[in-house]
Amino acid sequence: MNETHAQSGAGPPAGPVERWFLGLVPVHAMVLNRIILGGVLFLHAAFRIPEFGVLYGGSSAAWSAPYRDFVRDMLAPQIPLPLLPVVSLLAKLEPEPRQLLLLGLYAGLLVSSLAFALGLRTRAAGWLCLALHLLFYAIHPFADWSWARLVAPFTLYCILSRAGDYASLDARSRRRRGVAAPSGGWVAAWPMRLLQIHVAAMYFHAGFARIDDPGWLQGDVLYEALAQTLFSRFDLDLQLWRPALALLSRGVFLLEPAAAVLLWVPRARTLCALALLGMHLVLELLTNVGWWNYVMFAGLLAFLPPGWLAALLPGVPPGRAALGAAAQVGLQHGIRSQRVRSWNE
Amino acid sequence: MRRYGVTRTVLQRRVLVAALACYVAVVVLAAWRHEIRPRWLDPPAALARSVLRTAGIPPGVAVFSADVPRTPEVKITALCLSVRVVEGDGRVRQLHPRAGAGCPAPAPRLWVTGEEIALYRSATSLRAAVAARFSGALHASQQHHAKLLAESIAEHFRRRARARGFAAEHYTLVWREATLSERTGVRGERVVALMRWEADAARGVTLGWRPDPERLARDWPRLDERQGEGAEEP
Repeated sequence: MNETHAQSGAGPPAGPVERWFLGLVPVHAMVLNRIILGGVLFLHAAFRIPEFGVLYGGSSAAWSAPYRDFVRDMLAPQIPLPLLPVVSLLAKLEPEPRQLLLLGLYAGLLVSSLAFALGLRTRAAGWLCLALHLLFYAIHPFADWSWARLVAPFTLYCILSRAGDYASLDARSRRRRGVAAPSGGWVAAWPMRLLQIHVAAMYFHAGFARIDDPGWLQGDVLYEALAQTLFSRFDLDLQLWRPALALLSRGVFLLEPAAAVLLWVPRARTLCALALLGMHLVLELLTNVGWWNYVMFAGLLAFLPPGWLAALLPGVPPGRAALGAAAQVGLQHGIRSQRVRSWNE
Repeated sequence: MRRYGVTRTVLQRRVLVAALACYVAVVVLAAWRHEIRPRWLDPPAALARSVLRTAGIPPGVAVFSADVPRTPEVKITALCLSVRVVEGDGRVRQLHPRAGAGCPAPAPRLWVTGEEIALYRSATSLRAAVAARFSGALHASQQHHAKLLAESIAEHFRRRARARGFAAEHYTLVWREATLSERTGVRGERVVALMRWEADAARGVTLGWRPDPERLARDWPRLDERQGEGAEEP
């Protein structure tokens, strides 16, 4: 597809909002998201295999009446509404048939999440692994931190994108049949836009949740979190590290609310995304908070320059050279094509 | 060749853009904290929140804003639940933690199990509910929820004992906390609560707090305040 194609088509010219949502963007960010989020869902389920019986099995305490009553009363808002009757139905089964059914569903989660990460029947695998991941979350919501819910919308945006058309087993099988990728690596922007908006909303929500929190204002939160052996990876001498942790806490305190704005400022976007990636990397090195940081790594990739992401996926079109040429054409001739605009702005 | 890659007609494009704009508005409104939100946006924000809740979509996650206890002077560095069972022949056996597992598990820790997370969240929620009860912030239903949480913990260990082939008649859970003094840097340990229950589920759970629930409410003043809108665990 060339520039002319990007601007061709029937109907009146598109407005800025329409161009922003429906313009074309390189596919790399969503492909990387598919691989990372699918990998997270698979590894999360795989690491839980030894605990399957304790957490979800037919005779697990997750099926006891007090726990189910507590979930219904207190945690129901965290669970997708359509899953509540499904869990209620499962709770009514006898332990043995429930165990068999759950084992089958868990195997389905493992297979579908791996298939989603590898891009095998990507959309179907994505829907299935998302539904099953949320089902097991709904069975035992206390067994996970909040990342297990946040991963759901991010995965949904991936499923809705054309992320399965590239760097995937589906693409490989298509190549073997001699069928070219349908869009040459340029795909509709809206799934990536939703991901970008949700990532920014996440920082907007998190950043301003802390503005009146004395722990964050005093820079003590990371110190207090790391004092907890559940969250801390290492047995650090906290007093020695306290100034550094205070600095990091204050950095997080300032960076997260600022990110809600800076991620949309073209000149600041890359730097802000890199700072956030660095923050998550440090948090991942220091703390045990499940897969939260990996989910955010994936989301933040949508804000990095497409050329950088293309370098990570060398076989996926458009390559770095094509991206550079497209940008240059846009700049040199003043062509305000959807393609150039959508990822430059 | 499709224009914009997804749609063919102007109507389809416009409908899609309108739907996307609505969804974005819902996400942004739900993520907008009430502390910085104009009052007139409260009703649409509440509606947006309930729409997202229906789909189970969180607008955001404020890590370390709810589950990390903020205690003055003494930091709580670990929560340990140890459970012993008395079998029919009078033999006392350790059910949790397993021999050699240690409590707290020694660093470095690359992984936290789902069971650890579930027990931690159950215990801290139970404690928060009781703290709220004695700080006067308790909603009537919270007492019932505290009871459900205590019974859930008991049920968890009942089933663990059954799976391990223990012929348990009575259970005793000792809830300890490892502590670190802010002033002196001295590490210590204290008992927070004792729970007892029988093998028969119908007999319920007795729960005793130490030193007392009023002190508990003083020690954990923040946690119950943060159980409201948007409070999130990691």
